[in-house]
Amino acid sequence: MEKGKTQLSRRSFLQLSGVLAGAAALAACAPAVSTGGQSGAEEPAAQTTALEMYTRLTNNEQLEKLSARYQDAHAGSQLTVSAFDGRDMLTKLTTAVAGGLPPDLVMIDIAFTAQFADRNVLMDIGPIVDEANMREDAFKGYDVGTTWKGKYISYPMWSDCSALYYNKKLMADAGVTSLEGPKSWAEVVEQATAVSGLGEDIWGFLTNVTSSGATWFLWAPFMWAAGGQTFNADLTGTEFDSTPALSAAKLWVDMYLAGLAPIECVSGTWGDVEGLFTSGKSGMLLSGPYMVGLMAGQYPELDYGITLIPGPEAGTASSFVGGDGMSVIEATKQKDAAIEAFRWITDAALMKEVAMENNGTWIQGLPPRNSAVDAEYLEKFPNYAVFIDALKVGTLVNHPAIFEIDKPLKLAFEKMMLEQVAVEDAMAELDAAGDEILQRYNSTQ
Amino acid sequence: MVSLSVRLQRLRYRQAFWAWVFLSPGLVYFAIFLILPVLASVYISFTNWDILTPPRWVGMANYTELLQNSAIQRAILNTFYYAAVTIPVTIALGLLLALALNRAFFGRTFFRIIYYLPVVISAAATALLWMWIFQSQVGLLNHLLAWAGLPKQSWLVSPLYAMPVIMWTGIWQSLGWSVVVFLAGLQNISEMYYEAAKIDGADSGQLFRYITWPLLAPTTLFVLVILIIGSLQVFGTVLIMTDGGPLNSTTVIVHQVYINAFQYLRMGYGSALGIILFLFILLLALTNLRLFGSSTAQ
Repeated sequence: MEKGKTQLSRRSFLQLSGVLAGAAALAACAPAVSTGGQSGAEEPAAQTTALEMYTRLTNNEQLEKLSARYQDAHAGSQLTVSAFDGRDMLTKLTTAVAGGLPPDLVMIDIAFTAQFADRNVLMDIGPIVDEANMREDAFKGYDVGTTWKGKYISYPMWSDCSALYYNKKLMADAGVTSLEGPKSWAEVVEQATAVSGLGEDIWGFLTNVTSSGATWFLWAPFMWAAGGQTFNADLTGTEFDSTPALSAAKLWVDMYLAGLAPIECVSGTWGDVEGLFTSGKSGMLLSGPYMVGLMAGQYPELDYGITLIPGPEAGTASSFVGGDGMSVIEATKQKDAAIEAFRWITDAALMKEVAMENNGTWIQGLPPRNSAVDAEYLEKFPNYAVFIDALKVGTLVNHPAIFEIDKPLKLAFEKMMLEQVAVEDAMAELDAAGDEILQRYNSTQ
Repeated sequence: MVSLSVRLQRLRYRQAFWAWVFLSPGLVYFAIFLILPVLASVYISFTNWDILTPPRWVGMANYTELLQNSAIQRAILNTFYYAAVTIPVTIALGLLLALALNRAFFGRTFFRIIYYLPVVISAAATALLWMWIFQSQVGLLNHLLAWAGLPKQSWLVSPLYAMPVIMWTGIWQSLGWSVVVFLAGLQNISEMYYEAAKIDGADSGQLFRYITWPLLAPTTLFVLVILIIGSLQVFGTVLIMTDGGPLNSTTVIVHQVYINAFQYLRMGYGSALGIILFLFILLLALTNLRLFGSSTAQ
């Protein structure tokens, strides 16, 4: 290069380009600057509020409409619904909170609220709920799942609960005289045996222990209906070796070993099991209210009834009271707006209005409030009446480690049914595993 | 006057300086996204951490616990069972198909594409496809068995058959990849060797034994190492098809990492398991290089 000239040599140009490319790559690694309107961004009070709500329900039309409706009802405000499929939502919520960019509200499986409440992720909404007399209006079954360590952390948003479906035609063909469904364990066994006798590919009773949470949803009500508890009073141990738990487990295992239920009940998918009932090959199925809509739409010819999951004696019953709860995130920077959105979306009149327009369905299940499910609702949607009763007599498991106990619970039933391990031994092993998980969890808090 | 050696040394320094400048973007990326997470993972494995609360040092507790956990022991056994079956089968079938597809025949390109297609299908789609085929009540395979007068089988719901079905799915998906790699290896062998051997009277068996197989050794080693890594990390098909059941008959190491870390939020425990898996892979890869590397070099 000649003196005084500013022209770059090829080598210098390449060197300079390399340095600039490196600098650009490093700059790209820097955190993005918030553009405003993001959850967690500081905003002047006079400006619009943009709230974000997490849900596990993807492509839920009602939520999308509610989001638009919220915007109409609150000029200049937005409620963005961010959906993450199933269990991914729990991971996403965890990382969002840990990363300092949490949503403002979360609609979360009510059985999993405790694990977030215990880490102070969810706001105590007790005063807000009590101010509007909402606590008593939620179905009684939610008394357990909505609180944790004295805080009210989640208001029931939409309801799911377990009940017993039965095929009326198969029952009649099998000579079952009462078509009201079984009202005690003895009747369950008797009617399942009768139906099973109709043919080699006809089953008396269907359940599922494979799918995540299915054993809680379907088997735990049998234990509760017999007077059993999941945990001891101070939540330091499980009660799977209690007499009610053993008798409820024995009921299922004996029916399976007697050939009243197929292997799919132990290790098949939920679709496998459901398909056997909808194809008219089973006398009974344990499931939730969503099956009502499914059968009305796809299997209108199936003549079925629904009854409460019975206890050992007639007159006792229970259910797993699930669905999603609505929580406000403790770390939200738009607290007032988030509380206003919480109040708006949990309003009983809104629930009833939307449910009446959507075949009785609110969000993904049933409205969880007594005042939303009145005589008019029940008259229009009589098939849901049993589920409404179930929401009143059922209960829920409530502990941050419930997810972890699900695996040994499932394994215990696989051992009893597939390996024919004695019920007492398998349940004692399960109880020990449950105790160990709770003790480990408690010791780390 | 500057001596020649000093000028050469300056040149070398300047070259080294600019080499580091050009390497630095890659090194920074490598350090941030690979080295740091690995080191963080090692640290996390000695803590109790649920992401939402600060980690607490627990020493070797996670390692001690996982070695006593029966589900983890089962997962380790299942992972090696999976690897022990799928790797030899994939290599043998891959080599066999590559030998067949290396010959000139009508439709060769079509078959090459067909065999490679499963490689580009996602693990989730593959898992769902084979779940439908192996479904016990309405699955295609059981329909065919019934049509042939044979009894239906409880494929994915039986502790006996579930793992073989997962293995078959894994082999089906990775076979095309090994075929392509072996094909590339075969095409690198000069025809000259075969012609010389034929002149000396070698038959087809001898051609394979004394020419093809030894000259494919570097390719085989590569396929072996990659398949070991892949099979020890099997996860997607397990999660979707069986979620580790029935009776933990299909749970594998990465499945246990996933459920402990991301479902139970036991990041320390999950990291400890991840470190164990890393050590297994490292040990097997080094053993392979030691056993086969020297012969490959020759």
